[in-house]
Amino acid sequence: MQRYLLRRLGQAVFVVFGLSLIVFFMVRLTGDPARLMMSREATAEQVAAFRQRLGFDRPLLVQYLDFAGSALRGDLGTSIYYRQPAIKLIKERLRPTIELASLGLIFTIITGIPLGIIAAYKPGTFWDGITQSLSLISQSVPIYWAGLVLILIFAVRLQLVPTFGRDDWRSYILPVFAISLQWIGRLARLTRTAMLEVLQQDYILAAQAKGAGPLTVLSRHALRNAAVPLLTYVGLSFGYMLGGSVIIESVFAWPGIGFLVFQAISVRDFPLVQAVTVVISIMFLAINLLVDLSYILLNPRIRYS
Amino acid sequence: MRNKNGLSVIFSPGIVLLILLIFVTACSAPVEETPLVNPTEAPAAEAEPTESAADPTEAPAAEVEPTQPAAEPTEPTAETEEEAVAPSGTLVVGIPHTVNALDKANGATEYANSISQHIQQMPLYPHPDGSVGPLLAESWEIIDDTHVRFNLRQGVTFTNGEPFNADVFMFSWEWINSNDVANAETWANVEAIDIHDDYSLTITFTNPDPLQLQKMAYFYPLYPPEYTQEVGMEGFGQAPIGTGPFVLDEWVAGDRIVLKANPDYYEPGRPRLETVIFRPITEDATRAAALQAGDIDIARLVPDELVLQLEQDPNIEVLKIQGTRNYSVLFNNMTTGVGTPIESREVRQALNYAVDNEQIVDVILEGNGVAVDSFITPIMFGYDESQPTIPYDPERARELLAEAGYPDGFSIAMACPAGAYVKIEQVCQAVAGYLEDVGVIVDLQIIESGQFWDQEASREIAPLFLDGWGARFPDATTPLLGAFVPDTVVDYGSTWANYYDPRYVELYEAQGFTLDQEKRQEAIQEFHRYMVEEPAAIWLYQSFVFTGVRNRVQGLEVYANETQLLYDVSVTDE
Repeated sequence: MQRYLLRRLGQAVFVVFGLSLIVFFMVRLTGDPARLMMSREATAEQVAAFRQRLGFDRPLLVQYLDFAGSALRGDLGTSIYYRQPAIKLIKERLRPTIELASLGLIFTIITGIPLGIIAAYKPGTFWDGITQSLSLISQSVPIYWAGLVLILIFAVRLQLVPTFGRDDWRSYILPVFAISLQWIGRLARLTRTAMLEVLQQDYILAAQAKGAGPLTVLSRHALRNAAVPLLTYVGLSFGYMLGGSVIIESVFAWPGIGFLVFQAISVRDFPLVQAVTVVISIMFLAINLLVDLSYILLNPRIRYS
Repeated sequence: MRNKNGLSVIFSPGIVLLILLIFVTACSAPVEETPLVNPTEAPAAEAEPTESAADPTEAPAAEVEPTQPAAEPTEPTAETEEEAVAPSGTLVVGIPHTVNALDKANGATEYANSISQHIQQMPLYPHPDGSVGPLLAESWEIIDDTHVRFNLRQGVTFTNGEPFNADVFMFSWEWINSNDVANAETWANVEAIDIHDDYSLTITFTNPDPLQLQKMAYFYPLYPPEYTQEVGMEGFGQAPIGTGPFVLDEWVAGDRIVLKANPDYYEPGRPRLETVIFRPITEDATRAAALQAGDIDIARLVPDELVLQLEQDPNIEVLKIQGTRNYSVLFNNMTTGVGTPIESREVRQALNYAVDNEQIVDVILEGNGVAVDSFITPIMFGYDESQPTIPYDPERARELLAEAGYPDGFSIAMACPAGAYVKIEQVCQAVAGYLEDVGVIVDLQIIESGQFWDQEASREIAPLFLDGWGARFPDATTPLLGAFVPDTVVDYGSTWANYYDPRYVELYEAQGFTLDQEKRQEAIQEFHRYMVEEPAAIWLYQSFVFTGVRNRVQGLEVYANETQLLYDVSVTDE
């Protein structure tokens, strides 16, 4: 178990390192930040001075090693746009994103799994049809469009919730729903498939023969065994919601890191983009690790070596 | 028919739901006669008309005068009898970018800088029409082209108690010089400051600049010395302190900036608002929706395609003003255009005759713009209607091409910055189409905007390239300097337009170095004539800038240059 953990941690470090390297070079391919940051009235000298001050005139490898070295010491660079340490900016904005992703996750689970269970319990019926159609729609709808439509209907037309921002509890409704949309559909289908398979097992028949009611059968016997792939999926979707909230946060002006990194990219704020990438990838890897470890809780027969 | 699960496909719940969803969406576009009950707005308020955008050419604002006595009989500390109206009400403004710093020296966008100008003040006050008025400087005297004497307002303190006086000028200038600032124009062009006493000083400017006074209303922030030194540049940008009508109350990163009225503000009758909240909403559609729902009162930067929808809402007015951004297809005669037909004057004139820029404005921009014939446009200082124009005349274009030796036309490359401006790709394609009609085959390259500007800066860009240049002031001198005057001539010039003509430089010099407005007027008109005769570009248009405003907002005057000051704005209910 120890060895397993160590190996996983080692892999994680490697992944973060590789990812930061990729992002580092990718953002620099999009254009010269010095020229883009300064107004066009700036003279060539001023641009060169700016470039030098920020160290963009050094060889790329030197720049990267500098970034990596500082990162290991907890300094993820300074945002060119905000002129503040990237870490500070990320800390300020992390909480709204985590809230959104967490609530999104909870909503996805409490909506997706029951839908999938119902569909599996009564396959081929009207309910099954509804579930499948809903899940198809929810996966196909483009988030950006869905977000705007939700705003138009519920905020502008019906005036039930605010149009944007993170003000009070009502502000959470639309963004959480929007971010969960595609994952609900997929989770429902996955649950249905996993449950269908499990429900055909002999032990289910045995439980029913012993007189267990449908609820007990479904929860204690069926769901628990179907849970492993579902948990993987849930963990993945949480990671995606954390990192992929960029669109939702921009549409709803939700003050999280998705919004932050979106702005950073459009103004070519390299250090901030790099810093956010590193942070999100670390969180993603941590979640994956936790999910893998939680299998042991669910299914004692799983062992890691 | 049924699928393999035995479910009916055509009438499956999914299809029904999908149809329902489409139906609901189509009907949810809020085009309606009766307004919904809006919790933040009393129904009676709809009857009051909003004061519309000031016509940029006429505003009852103070003009720049050679001498101006200390005019206003206001006593800064005593309350005058006329005004005892306390500021009241809350205004919410939706802005399209987050704010990086509330400091004129480092603000990255006009939105950030507009907000900071409510807290941190300049010596002069900028009016929407481009003129300036007294603020922290009560009066001033233009001694000659490079010397101006300022008489400062007395009895003003920063909101932390520090006094405002001539030393503050000196400190602010030195502070900017000794720090790395992002905005190079901050406290630029100052050679020396001579302090006469606590409330008067003379500034010596390094170069004569016809817009120097206008710039003093935008780029010369005044800092409280003790506080600024204590917190440093970055600290100040996050927690500014100034002499303005508002103080920073709260700044939640990426969410809102809350300003509260400064109870000790020295100008009576200002501000009219108790609270102003700025909220960044980057998505245009969300910002427009927020305006419709009443979650914001002002939506800055409404894109063209949403204007119609907003105008149909009886609670909203869309204010429009002609922006200073000038779009043209420039000729690169410095690098890639060398040896190509564009070096010939007849060819360049021909290309101008070939393109119907009025049609482009009417059709592609749906009328939201004005066709222009040079950098000197109807809203710019010195513009004269009697100046020559270049009408659409493809016949004349072909004649000129033949005269120049290209009766069968020629091929040439043209670059276009993708997504940089509203509908710019369509404009590029329209231009290419018009040129093709007269025999000039255009190889249109639509390039990602970041790369496009890189190429422009490094002079690698195609012989023809379409770009827009905005000016902070309704005066062509700054864009002319940036576009056509090399830094060998003027040390803050550049030639981003990649076009060099020594006569352009001469004409620039004739109007760019004097504060005598009459002399400038003549020189500018001469420049305009020359730009028509020897075009540096296919001159196209200037577009409109839109701001959406709810009816409860009073006293808003829109600026053409993306600034927005709310000193005199009030709201009618609450």
